[in-house]
Amino acid sequence: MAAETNVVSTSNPFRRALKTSISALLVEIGYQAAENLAVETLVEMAQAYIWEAGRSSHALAELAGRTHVMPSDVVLALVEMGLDFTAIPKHAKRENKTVFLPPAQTPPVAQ
Amino acid sequence: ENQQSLEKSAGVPLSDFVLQLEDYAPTIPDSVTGYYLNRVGLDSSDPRILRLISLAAQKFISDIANDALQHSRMRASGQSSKKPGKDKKMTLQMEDLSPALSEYGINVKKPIYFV
Repeated sequence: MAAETNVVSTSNPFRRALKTSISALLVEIGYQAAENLAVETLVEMAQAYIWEAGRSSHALAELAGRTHVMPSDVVLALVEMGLDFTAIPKHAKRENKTVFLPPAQTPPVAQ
Repeated sequence: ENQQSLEKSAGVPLSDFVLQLEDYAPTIPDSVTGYYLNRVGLDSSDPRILRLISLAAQKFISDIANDALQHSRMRASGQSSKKPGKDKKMTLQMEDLSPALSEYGINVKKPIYFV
């Protein structure tokens, strides 16, 4: 399929965008290069983190008798996952924040 | 007293902060987080939810990478006398990431099929 194995790691555009954003975070911290294995490990972890945050927020909303997730469910889910929420505003307002153009494709409808 | 200071630091600013997320662009794009949240059956019509989760994931990854950076700095300072000019580029390596992750209770092994 792909001629160069080190170029194409996945065909999923969202995963590739996630890899780009994680690489951007690494550059912000001060890295200039990275091993592919290390970045892939972080991408896999970020993916699992988003997955788990979504799953448990959804479960908490259902526990409260709602089908719609509210920000408070998400906050509770993230705190249960061990996040220190007081550090989030500081992280959001960091000075060297990078933003890039996300994939324009709309996500497929959940089945 | 402790309870009160906890409320001051976490309770009041958090609601303000969630409102501020309306016009905030995290590094992990909304569409990416939205895609993963859709896959777990979560309706992601509220951008604040997406951005909250994006920020949390970013923070998680940043903290780990920062720990890895400290590890590599410590490693470099230990052997700085030998090769001063060699380590000009900061490279994220598994050698530094593995100890950083084990602090979080995650033990990584290189899969044998990974090239």
